[in-house]
Amino acid sequence: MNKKKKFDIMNYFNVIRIVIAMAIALLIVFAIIFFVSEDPVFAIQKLMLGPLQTKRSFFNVIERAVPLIFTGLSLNIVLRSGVFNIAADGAFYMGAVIATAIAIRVPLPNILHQFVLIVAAAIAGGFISMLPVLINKYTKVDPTVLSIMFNSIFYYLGLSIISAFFLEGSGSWGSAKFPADAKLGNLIKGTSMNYGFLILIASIIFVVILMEKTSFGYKVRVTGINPAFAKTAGIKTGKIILGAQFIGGIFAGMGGAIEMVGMYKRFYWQSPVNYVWDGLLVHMLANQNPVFIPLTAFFIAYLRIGAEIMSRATDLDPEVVTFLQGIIILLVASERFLYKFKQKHEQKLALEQAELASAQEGGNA
Amino acid sequence: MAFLASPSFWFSVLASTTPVMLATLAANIVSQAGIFNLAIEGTMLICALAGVLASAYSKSLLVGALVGIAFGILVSFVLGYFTLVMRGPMNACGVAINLTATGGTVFVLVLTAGSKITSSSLVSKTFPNITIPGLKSIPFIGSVLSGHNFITYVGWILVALTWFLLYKTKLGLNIRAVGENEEAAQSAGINVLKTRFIALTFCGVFCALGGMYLSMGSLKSFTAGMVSGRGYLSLAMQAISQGNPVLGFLSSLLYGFSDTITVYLQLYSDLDLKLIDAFPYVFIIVVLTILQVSKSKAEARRAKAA
Repeated sequence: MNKKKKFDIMNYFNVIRIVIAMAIALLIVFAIIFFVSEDPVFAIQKLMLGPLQTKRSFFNVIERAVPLIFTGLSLNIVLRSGVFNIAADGAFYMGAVIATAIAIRVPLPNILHQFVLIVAAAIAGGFISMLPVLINKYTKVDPTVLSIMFNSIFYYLGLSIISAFFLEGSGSWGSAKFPADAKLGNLIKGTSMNYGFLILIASIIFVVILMEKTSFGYKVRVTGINPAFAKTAGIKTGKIILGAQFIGGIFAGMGGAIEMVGMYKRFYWQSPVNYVWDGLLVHMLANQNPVFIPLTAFFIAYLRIGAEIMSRATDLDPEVVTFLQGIIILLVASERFLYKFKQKHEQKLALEQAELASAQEGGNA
Repeated sequence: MAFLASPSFWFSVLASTTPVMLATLAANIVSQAGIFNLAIEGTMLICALAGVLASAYSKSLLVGALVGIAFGILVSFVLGYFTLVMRGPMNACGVAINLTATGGTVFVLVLTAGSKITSSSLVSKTFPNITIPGLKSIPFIGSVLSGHNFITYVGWILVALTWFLLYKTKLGLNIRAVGENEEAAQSAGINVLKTRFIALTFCGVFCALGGMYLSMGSLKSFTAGMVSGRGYLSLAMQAISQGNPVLGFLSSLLYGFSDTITVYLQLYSDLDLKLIDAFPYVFIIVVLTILQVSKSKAEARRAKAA
């Protein structure tokens, strides 16, 4: 019982830490808005309450959260193996490109069509995500750097594949329209919620079970926390890391495909999607626990939509929320943030336990 | 491929090498101190904007340059504070700074220049191009080496000075000792934290010069996202040069070459323009892999012989 109580306090500490980091970041962003805006109260009101004011903007938040949940899940598996690989961006973009290619060029019946394009995108995502770690083996270049470079490479590759083979001549830049049997059907009338949402829920459950309940998940976590220990315990860390990159990449590739055929009529992403940074934040705010990823993705999506509503109503640019992102990542990542608070608590706890032990000893004697 | 023989091609190679050379120099000195600075990209971007804004508002190039450099040091210290003092992981903190830099520069750009894309509505100062009198008259070499931007020449001098600093001075020895083995350096009486912050100061200055070269040298204004991966590439160059500024300069030339050839190929061929933009990255990764594989093979051969 004593053990359980101690565990609860530790959990509490991480949550408190994250909430305080969020509060500090929000305060700094409010301060920036106060400093530069002519009507700061109105701007902050729009930022914080805007998404709740219409049904449409609320559903926009949920739509925006879907790709963040996919990248968040992807990063959850990848980063917990101890490798800071952010190739999920390239995997997401290429997933969307491959989905577009199969949707337009491969004629298949309904349901099978969607299945094939999502699986193909997922597998491609898995391989893309493995690349930085594989190249790192031979070049010794940091996998983080490699993954960022690969994100650029795959962005240009995907863009030129679409421009070379799938462009529709007339009007603005974009691919041909997807056939109806390649799109994900609507789930709730009057919104853009589609069947991709069900795949999303299945993915969340899968990742939670994989990472928290299976021996593979355990091995990934141990490798990430202490690779030397993992090796002596007989875990093949190289294989586990590669496996984690592959499975993580699957969800990024899948996310790209589902976003593309679920939300859009045709491919028109002419700039990098950059979901990976939001995904990183989602993963960190969730305290590395996949169960909380939907919640934190909703929070980030809410702020993004809020910022867009704010920028439409005022003179402020929505990029102001990137300050928030940067500050939260810095604070949550810092081991020493609120360290004294934790230390004091642990000292108190140790003291209490010592007293309890001596009291028990006294009782026994 | 006739353009390979023209002096203007090689002049462009040197010009496009400059920002990556300075970024690599920044990566060299912090890596020697045992810091992995992913934030070089963001630091350059912030300095590029800070220099432009300060020079536009003060109407003085010197003030612009000093403010840019001050921001470079400041951003590097923020990274230093969160990684060295607060013990955050270096790559996550670097990502945080880059993210803030990408969005924050756009936010500030909208406030100051009224545009999400460029600062061209502001009249900012630029560093001059310098013609070297004696050198200029030499055929071919003169037109390749003379007429570059002020920052390019400063950069070349800094490469030599940084090499001297790292390998010939006590401070350089301390920096390398701290990077090699933190605990041993500490027990030898070196102040590890202070040494690392000194390395970060140099890093900030180099990033600032690299960033300002882009916005106040090769271009006359700031453009959103104008660093476009050069900071990340510098970390790959650091992997080739292993902290040696001279090797760092040579490997940046590789980038300059691949970048310039990309531009020329776009002019002279009908290849798809977008795919070719990925060429410098692919080229660098391929070169790195070949270098490293041949190096490890040579090591294996040596081990066999011994």
